[in-house]
Amino acid sequence: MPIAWVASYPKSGNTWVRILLAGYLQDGPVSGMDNLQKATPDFGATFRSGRMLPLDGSDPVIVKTHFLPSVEVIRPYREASTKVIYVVRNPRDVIHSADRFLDIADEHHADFARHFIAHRGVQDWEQVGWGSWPGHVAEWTFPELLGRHLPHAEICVVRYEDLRRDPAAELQRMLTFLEIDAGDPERVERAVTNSALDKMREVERKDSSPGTQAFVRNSRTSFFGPGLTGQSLADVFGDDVEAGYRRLLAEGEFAAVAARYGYLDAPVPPSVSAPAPAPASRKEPSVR
Amino acid sequence: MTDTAWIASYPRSGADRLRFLLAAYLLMDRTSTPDLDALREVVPDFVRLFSRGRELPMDGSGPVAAKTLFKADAEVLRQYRPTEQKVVYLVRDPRGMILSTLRFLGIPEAERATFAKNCIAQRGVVPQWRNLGRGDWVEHVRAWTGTGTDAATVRGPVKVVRYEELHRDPAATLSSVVDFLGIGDGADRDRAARAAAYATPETAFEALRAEIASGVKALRRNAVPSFRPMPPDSGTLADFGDDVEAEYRRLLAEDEEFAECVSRYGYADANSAV
Repeated sequence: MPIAWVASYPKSGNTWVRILLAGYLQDGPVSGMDNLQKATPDFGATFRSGRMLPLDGSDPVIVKTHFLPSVEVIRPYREASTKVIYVVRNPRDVIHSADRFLDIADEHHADFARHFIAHRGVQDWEQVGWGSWPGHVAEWTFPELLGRHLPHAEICVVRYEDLRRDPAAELQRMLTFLEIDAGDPERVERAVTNSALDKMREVERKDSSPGTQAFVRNSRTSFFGPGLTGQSLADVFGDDVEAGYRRLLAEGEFAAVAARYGYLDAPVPPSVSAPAPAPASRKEPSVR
Repeated sequence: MTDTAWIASYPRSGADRLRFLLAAYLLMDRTSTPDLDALREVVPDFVRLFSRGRELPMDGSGPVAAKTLFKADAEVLRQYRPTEQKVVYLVRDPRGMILSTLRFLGIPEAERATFAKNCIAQRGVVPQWRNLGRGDWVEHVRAWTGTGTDAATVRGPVKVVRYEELHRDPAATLSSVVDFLGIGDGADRDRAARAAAYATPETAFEALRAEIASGVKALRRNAVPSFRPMPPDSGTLADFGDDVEAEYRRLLAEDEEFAECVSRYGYADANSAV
């Protein structure tokens, strides 16, 4: 059974993409995490339940991961991996979303943002095989880097900002890439409607019954954030953080990867459309 | 092929305690105060290893032992099963396991009786564990100890360790495990005693607390205050009401396989749980 990875650095829209794809595949709303896991499994959750990804059968299995493609646990799936949907998001918004998701204390918001800038991501996430932000994006989306680990995989890069702007078009594009019949626009619209943030938060709330919480995560913070794009770092974290981030955008691998996906711009209000995506599929990398 | 042995158990049955002891024993000749990362590396947790993107080496370079809570026939263990690995299987009185689970999951006082009854109705387990590749308690014990219909699952030698013995005399239990695993020339009793004195739940807690107090974890709201050592295991199911104990006795009376498993490891006595 071919494997299609839905890969991303954490807090970049991976779960939303899974929900969109699951909603389309089952032509109905995702009713809970069990349902989502069945339709578009999370690699880690699959392992933690004692199972391997299925390699028999002909239908592709769509699998979420935050791992780098170079980690050992992906090796058993090297030959079966034929597609990669990579979800990339403006690091500005990744910082905000990670800050909220990790439940950073009020007095440490700026420390956390500085940490992210200093480590090019969250150091704890690097230690668990997720890499830094630029390392993750490069390893999954630069064909010659990905090809070392998943030599048969085609890449489709989805920018979170484009997904926010026109989810139906992006879903259609992903379905076409996955060679799934996307000929019914109304079905695509239904999947988009069913993935609305308020609906997902309601599903999450129902899933967080006593006794279940301990098995899912500390549910003090909602998994689903406000889904903003192009946010300023100065507003929440301070002018020095915004200045530090701009310095990061001017140097090395981080700058090159950010430029490739159109993330060099100054922060924009959420209502303003994100910049046009840089072409990504099967292009030569602009760095390294 | 790896010769890594498994330290296996159903959840809340002492696998982490034994893992910590064994790791401390292995490191004691190098340092008297091994750090948490070193301990984790020398006797890794199979799931924790995966969650860092790593696999157990299969070329003979793997650790002496690795911990797993999976049932022996879980898919993720299949690639290791052909080797005739040794297994140290920890078994615990289901009563003590249920009590420990209530504390571990932080089930509120008012919900404990209902939660315990639900566990009993599920053959002594938390329902979610069935979906996490553990099966129920009887299935787990049978699969790892090579009894019942799952006898063919494990091919290597199995040493069953009762949690209650580990709790009562950790140094002696550790020595018997070292002997079983064939580490060195056999157990060094003095070293086992030093490992037992070092690798206590309190030491583990302090190490975890220090870890939580570093890096990004230290920036999180209430990161450290919400983390407390587990209170000592104590009490009985009857503490939650006579009907809870009655439910457990009904399970023993009506489920022949469950009763056989309980009896085989000396847990038929109502006061055997710790």
